Amino acid sequence: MELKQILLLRQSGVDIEGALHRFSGDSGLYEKFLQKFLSDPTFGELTKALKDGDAQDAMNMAHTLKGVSSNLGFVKLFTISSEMASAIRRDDFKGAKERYPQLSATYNEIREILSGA
Amino acid sequence: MGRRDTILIVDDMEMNRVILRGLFQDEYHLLEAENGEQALLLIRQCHSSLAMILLDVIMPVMNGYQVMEELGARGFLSEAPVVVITAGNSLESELRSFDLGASDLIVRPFEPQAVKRRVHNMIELYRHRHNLEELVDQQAANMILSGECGMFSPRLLECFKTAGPVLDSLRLRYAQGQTPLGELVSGPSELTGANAGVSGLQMEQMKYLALLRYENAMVVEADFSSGVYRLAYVPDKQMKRVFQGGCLEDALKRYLAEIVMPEDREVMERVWYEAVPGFFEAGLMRKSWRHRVSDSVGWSWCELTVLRVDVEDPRRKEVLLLWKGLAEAPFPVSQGGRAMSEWGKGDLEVLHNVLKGRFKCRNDRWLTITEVDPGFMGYEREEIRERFHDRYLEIIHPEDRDRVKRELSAQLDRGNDFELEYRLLDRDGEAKWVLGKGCLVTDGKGQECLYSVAIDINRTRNAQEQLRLGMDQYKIIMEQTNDIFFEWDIVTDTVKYSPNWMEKFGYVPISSRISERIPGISHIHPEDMAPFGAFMGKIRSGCQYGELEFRVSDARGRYQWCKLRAATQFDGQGRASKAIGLVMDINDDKMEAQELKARAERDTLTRLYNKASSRQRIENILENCEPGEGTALFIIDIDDFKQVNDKYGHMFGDAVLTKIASQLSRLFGSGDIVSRIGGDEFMALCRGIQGDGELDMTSGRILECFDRVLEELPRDCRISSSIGIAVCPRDGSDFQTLFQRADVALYHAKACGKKQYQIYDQFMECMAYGQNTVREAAASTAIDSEEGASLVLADLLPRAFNILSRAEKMDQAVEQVLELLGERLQVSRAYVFENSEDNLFYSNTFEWCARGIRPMKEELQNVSYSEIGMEHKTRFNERGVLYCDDIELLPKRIRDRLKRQGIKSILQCAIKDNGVFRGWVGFDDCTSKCLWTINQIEVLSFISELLSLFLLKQRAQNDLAELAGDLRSVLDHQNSWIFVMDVETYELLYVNEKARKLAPQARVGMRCYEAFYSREEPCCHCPMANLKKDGGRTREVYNPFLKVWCLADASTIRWGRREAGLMACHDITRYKDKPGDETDK
Repeated sequence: MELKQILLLRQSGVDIEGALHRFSGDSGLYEKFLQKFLSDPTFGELTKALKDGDAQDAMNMAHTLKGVSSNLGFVKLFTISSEMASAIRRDDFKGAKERYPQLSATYNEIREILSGA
Repeated sequence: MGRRDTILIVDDMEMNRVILRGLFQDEYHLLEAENGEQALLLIRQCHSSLAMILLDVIMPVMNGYQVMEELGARGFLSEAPVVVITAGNSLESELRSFDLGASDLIVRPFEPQAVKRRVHNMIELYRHRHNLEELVDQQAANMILSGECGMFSPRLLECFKTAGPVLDSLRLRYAQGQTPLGELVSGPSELTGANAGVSGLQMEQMKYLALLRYENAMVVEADFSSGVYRLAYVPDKQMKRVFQGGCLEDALKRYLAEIVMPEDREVMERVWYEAVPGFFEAGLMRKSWRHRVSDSVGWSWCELTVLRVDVEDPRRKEVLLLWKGLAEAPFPVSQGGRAMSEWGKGDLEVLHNVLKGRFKCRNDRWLTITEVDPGFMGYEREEIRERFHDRYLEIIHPEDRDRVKRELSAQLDRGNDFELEYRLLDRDGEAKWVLGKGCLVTDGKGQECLYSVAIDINRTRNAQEQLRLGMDQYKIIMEQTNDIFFEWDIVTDTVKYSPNWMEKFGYVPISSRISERIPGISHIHPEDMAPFGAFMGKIRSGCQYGELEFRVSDARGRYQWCKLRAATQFDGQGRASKAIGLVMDINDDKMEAQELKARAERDTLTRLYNKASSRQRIENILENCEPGEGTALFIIDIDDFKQVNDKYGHMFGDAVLTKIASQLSRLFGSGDIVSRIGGDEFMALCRGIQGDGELDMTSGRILECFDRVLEELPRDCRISSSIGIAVCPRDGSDFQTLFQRADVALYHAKACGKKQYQIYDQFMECMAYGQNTVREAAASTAIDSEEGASLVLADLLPRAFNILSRAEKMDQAVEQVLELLGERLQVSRAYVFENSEDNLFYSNTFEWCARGIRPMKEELQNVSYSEIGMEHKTRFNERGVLYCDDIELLPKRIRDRLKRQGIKSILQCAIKDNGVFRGWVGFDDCTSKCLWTINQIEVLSFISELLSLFLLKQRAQNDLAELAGDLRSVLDHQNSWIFVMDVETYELLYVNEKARKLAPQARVGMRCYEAFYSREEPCCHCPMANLKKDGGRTREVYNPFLKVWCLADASTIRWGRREAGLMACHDITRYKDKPGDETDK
């Protein structure tokens, strides 16, 4: 992983040390899953579910995204997807949708850093 | 019972499994499942070795709640705790987890170490509980084995024996017509009466009865000769009423009338009055009859069995009558018999081509034929009687007879149906394969009969036999190896495995719907499932041959590495129809390979060689190198790398190391060896070096390397490297020597201010004390022991010496040295203790503490030696060292003192002044029992000596200064004008306070006559001059300048290194009335 990427991730608030700790300090393993995140379909499916108004699907996807973010140290993404999931759970689908732009921005920021763009 | 040491991780996300795996793989065996169904499959298989189930809730196929429901229903929840891991859904879902029996709930993102502890604690708790349960089980098993309970209990048999005499007496009473109603039903009291005090036996009976209840059977003991009976056990009231009172015959009559279904009454009557007597006459042991009886619901089938009890006396007719309810209706008895004769002859001929025929025979040892289709195997009925004496067994091919008998009885043990393949001899004497299919029926006469058809399977069987022969050959091979042979029928999607699967893995493998089940819900490791599915797809789509390595769990829940080799077989249309192959155990190979990998050639982070493998390679190169070839060993150490990790995190630090590694490996040629030998230490062997010029060039490029990496770093992150170089053959020709010398050079480079390279030179050696021995230890340092394992002491001594010798302020210097030592040794405290003047007390005079360690200096002032014993100095050895890696070994009063300070181990070196014990320099470790190495002790005691030397010098100086100070204050407080002068030059060397007050202008360096008399030349009657002349030294003097009379006393003293005059003048002015004419005296 490029040094710049690590610094950018740190800057954007990713809890790298915490996540690395979870991966038993194995930076190679952590990096592998960071790369896998790029091809993870969850965000795309969440986007689709929100667009289609499929609350159940949206909740599942938000939940999955939340799990993945928590493991990888994406604190911000974790927070927003958690809020989204709980909004849908209280039948506040609109509230969930309102958080989408923020989620999308955060997701894209991480994505850009990870893809080295 | 195996130890519960396996954790099952159930999660559909690979990342989650990987994280948990990383946490637990060192301490537990792990099983993994990626969905609920697979989890259940594994739990069913391995529940007895499971210590814990870590369960995700939201999963496809079957979610965590469903898994827990299943576990609860099957009673697995009490075996192993379930910990639910969730991303924190809601209170509601948390409660649901607990309601379903979860032991704990962990919310993501979690703190790994905390989770580890929690899981560990819970496992321990359950283990403890299981131990208790096992203890109880064991005790119960012992009780059964020792006959205290259980159905094979010898005591139970004993119980029946004692019932014998009672039965006899009762029988007599019955015969005499006495029928004490109910008395026998409550028999046990009678029995216990006969055998007083055997309440244990009553217990046995209760258990025995419980067993019968469980079997849903009714038991009557009966004696057909006397007509006496006893109801041993009956589950239902109606039956109980029937078998109460009267003689056996009455009871049986009641039974027929009230219990037996009307349609079956005739049959059962015949049983009573004909079959049972026949049973005794024939000397049979056991016979059964089926009939329908009334039960609470309606009519149900039941089987009555007569079981001979007394075997020894053939005249006695004692039996047990056992009724047992049947779940299903038996084969309709009479219909088959009638149907047979309804076939027309033409039909039969047709059918004979397919069916070799139908027959009915007795279930006796010859399978005596009672009815058979005409034309069976080409025989007429008569022929069968004549040639085979109606014995079906004799029609069977001699080679198959034993097998048929064996298999038949085995199949009949399991049920009434049978299906056998064997050869029959047809009329032409040819052996024909048939499939004999049929069932066992007890006919109206209570006779067991076999109804059977024989179907021609000659052709298929022959083909199979061919195959079987082939398989037999395989089998022989199989038995030689432990490999498992399998045959996958692609069309039916089933697999047959050789029996050693069961032997090896301990369970029946999945054999049907395999293409769906194996890659989805199976014993295969989740990570290998997708490749397995792909492999099957490849075979199905016509790949001729394939190989696959995968992990599959055994019955204990251990993954085993297997290699599968499959060859595809094709049908007429060229489609893949079958695959046959082997499953080989490659676990040992795999484990070995993994171990090799762990000892690995290459460092996992940088992909460079690791220390061990590079050493091996370098040794190899050095042994085989050409005499003239110049080779250089570089040790490259990143300066202050710890700061990078501290500031930017380990992920960043690792990335920097990777960058540097790739730069380094680009720098060196393919024949060179580049390796990472420590956290931030690299080593390279460079071949074909010609002269120092080339060395300089290469070293320069290494330094530049770091500059290039630097470009990518943030501006405030600076890294550089220090390089030590040793050249072969000049500096040595073996690895050890070269390494040591390159290392000496490296330390020299560090000492000279880092960010540079140094080529080894002899002079560097003498700068470092004990270098070689210490570095030897460092040469075997494992990677990643950045700080710790070996202490680099070599440069400590010169540094300590420098600090002390150049010190302007001794106290600061001592503190600096303590800090240096403390940091480098990574101890908790470094300190100096010094004795009081009289050596009766000691004080902590200098102290350095590591971060987080409580300073003790304040508390340890003027402590009396009486507390630790005056003999304390004797605890230091002949070299003045006291070391103790475990303070528990010290005398109690010292131990207690040290414990109060939190100390675990100590190393102290005595300070001696002219052989007198004056205190000590020491180091405490409060974190662990530190084992000091000889090298450390040597270097430390040397430095301590150095310290004490400087300290003593300092102390001596201080003492002198103090003495001088004391003297001066004495002189200053004298009520006299005192001054010291050079006797030759009259130059003032000292003036006391009183004299200065009298003559404020007087200064050291002035002439005495100038200062006190304001004269140009010495006084003519100078007492000091007189002293030399006539020895007279005291005289009265008037000083007109100061207007005082004084009694001047002159004497000579040693002032420093020379002789000087001391003038002490006492004020006598008040004794003189007025100044006289003796002024100029």
